[in-house]
Amino acid sequence: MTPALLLACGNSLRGDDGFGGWVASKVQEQYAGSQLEVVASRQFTPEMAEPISTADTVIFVDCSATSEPGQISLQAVEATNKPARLMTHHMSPESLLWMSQELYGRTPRVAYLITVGGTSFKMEEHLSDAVRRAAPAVLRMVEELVLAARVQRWNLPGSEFELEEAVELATV
Amino acid sequence: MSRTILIDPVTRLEGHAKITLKTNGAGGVEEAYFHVTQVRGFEKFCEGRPFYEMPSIMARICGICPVSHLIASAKACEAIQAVVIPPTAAKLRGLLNLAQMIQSHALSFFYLSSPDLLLGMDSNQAERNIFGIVKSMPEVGRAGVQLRRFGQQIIEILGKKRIHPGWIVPGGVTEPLTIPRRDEILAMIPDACVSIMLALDAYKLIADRFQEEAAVFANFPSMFLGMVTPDDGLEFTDGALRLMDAAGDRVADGIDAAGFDLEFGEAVEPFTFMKFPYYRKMGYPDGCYRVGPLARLNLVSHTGTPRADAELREFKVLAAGPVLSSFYYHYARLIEILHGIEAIERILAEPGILDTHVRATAGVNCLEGAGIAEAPRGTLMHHYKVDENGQMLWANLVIATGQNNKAMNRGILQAAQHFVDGNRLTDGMLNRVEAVIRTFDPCLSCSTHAYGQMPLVVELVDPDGNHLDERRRNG
Repeated sequence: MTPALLLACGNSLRGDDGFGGWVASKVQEQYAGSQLEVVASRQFTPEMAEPISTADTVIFVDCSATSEPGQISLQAVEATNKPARLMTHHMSPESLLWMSQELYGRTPRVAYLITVGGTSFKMEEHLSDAVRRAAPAVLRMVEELVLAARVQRWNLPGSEFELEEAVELATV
Repeated sequence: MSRTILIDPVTRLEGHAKITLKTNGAGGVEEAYFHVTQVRGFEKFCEGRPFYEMPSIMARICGICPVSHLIASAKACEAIQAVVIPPTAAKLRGLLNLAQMIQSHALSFFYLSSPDLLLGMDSNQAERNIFGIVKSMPEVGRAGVQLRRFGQQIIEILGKKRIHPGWIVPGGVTEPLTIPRRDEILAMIPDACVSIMLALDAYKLIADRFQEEAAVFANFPSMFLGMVTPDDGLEFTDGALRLMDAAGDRVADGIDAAGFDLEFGEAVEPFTFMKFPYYRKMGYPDGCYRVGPLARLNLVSHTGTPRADAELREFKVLAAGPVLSSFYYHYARLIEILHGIEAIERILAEPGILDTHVRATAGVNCLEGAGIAEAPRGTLMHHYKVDENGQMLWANLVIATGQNNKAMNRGILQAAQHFVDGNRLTDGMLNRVEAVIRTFDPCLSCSTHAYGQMPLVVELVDPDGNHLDERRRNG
């Protein structure tokens, strides 16, 4: 069982869309050698259902094209089989959780989706000011979620982690 | 009154396209066009760059088959360098190409086409997708996910990245294979074998239900082109090309990368941005041919691995000569996956595979070079010209999907004339027209290049060009 799995998606050549990959690289440095598994990809794809099925906690990270620039959103994600548009090889976090359940009989204990509102998706390799300003809070949020996953795994006091606490921490 | 039926977008493809069907007054289809609406710019914007950057730049053409572009591009660069790469590097490249073929074929069969095959061409459109497969046949869904992961993980183990690995360079590869990496790949092989055998069994159970589709899904005489070993075996990375006619006779043999342009030309049509390669001696359109899994299996006498050879013998029973129906691309794809798994295991067991001499170096020794490889969808050719400093002056790419362009256009006409009634359109009719295209597994971003989502349109137009009806699928 993987205590925590971070799945980040986005294209680093398309401005703020590269935010997921940026978070993945930072988190990978921070947790090198720990029991956090990090996967960065251009899209969320069906193959991710397999590692999801063996994780206790899953954290999806993506950039949002519809949120306000720099706005951080943290939401619990639950399985649903509503197809992503066109159904080729791009899937939503909810669909991946559903596939994990259907194919492997298991979903993570908890799954979260963290998004940050992007402002520029042009052919460029840097993040906008708004997204860069939000980045430290997102990293703190990931840290809290990973910590909660560890606490849960070790069955230590404090395992009743509250989603609201992470949001509060992240917005400090 | 005649009509134009527009299918836009064509779904479950890699890229953007639409189909136009033109009907006569009785509702029968008279003309069919497969329009690829993207534009490729790679040949132009690479001008002025150093030639040794080409593999990493050209591989960005496609997220599905970047390894084939890496290999064809590196080989073109090596022709410019006039360098021979170390034998271990050649084997490792071959292994990576097989891994890519497996993940790409798994994507095509399980994610894109199995909904039509296993749930039915007329099944509920809302359920006819990978979710429907997962729901009704989870064991097939698991096999598909497992095989795609198998190929992707090998690419990641060797190339450090699942998409756009940079391991293949002019002169060989950047790092040798290590024992832990070899053992990691070997450990995955038994599960991959189980998955592909399950898929082959599932395909054989349903194949007979599609006799009507097999009869009209691009089922016509054509030539076939692909890479072969010197002893007529299946080859994806290092071999010469063979062109065979519909009777199974060799039209041309031993064509190498340097000879490709002499043998093959490219025609254009006003309705699409995708080119139409053809065999020069026969001219356009008579010299058009098919490439990819169906062509490759038609061209060879054996695959070179035991279980795939047993499957190939069954495949060859489908016809007295070459198998002509494009419906059987699906079956050929599964056989190639099986071969790929077996061949990877064999390559990893070869002596010298852990050799650390995996790269040769040289400067500019020739001002022109070409490279060929078999991509999952068929033969791929990169051709470059440079100045004496190695700056790119010119490039041309002949992409696998383009070489199937004429056959795809003929195929949708054949299927539409059989299935489509212009006076009474149904989803099942139009899905069959799209399914013809899916048999070829076209990669349109690869063959023309653009960015964005994949949509498709079927348009119905009367003989006077009046727009009568349209089915549009949004991107």
